[in-house]
Amino acid sequence: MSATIKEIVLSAVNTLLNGTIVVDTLTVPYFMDYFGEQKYGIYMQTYTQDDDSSKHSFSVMVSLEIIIFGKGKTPDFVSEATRRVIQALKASVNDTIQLSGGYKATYTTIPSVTSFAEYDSETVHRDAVRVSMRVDENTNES
Amino acid sequence: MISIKIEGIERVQAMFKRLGKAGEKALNDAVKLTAVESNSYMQTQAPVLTNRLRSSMHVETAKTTQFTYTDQLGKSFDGKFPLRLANLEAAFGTNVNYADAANEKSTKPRFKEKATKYAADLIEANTIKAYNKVIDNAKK
Repeated sequence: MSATIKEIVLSAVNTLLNGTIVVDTLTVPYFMDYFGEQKYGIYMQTYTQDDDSSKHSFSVMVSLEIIIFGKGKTPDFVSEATRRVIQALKASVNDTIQLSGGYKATYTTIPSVTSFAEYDSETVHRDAVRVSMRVDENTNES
Repeated sequence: MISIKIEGIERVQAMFKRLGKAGEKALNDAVKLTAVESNSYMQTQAPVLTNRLRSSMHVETAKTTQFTYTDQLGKSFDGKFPLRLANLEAAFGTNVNYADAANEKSTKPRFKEKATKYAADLIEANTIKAYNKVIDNAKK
């Protein structure tokens, strides 16, 4: 059974972020599944998929919201991790990343970042990075 | 579940339709923008414990086929509304089963009513802005 677009996109994000984000010699882990109580890390908070009827060929619009959090960490630690996440995702408007299954993703927005500080026995700093992309089939253009 | 649907009223839709495809797109964009801004507002007004309620709040249009979200422990949920939306409609809210109870009894109640009022106040401004933009672009 072939992979769905969601599986392909999540797999690509995992490849780009898993074990690749290092701040102050600490590797900030990327969690794809249940992770319980962790002091710091990265996870995908939301995944939205919309049909894109503006093109004749196959195309969907995908929006991701990725959380970078640090409990008992400084805001600078979290914002540096966020900066590296955006860099690792190559999230720049009109830039393209190759996906598996013969697809590619083109970013359609600049990444937006919202920062939160919450208290849960100690202060948790949390950055939410939002990116949107159009997922197309790779076409051979000669 | 709490979902708030935003749609352009008939005579407003007729005004935009007279402007052709650009007009229809502008109204669609205004409706969606209102839903996005109102959803963000609702998220600031809602109580937070595991972050599940806030993460579940989102916007859907007729084209939305999937929405999944994760709470701050990494547990994932399907957040898609059981709604069939038409063109020129958008919805925002949450499908968690305790949303209504949280709206009534939590430490931050009435977030649904606050967000509904916010959307009602915003749709007119966004619609007027969109209409004027289409007219200005047509003059160029």
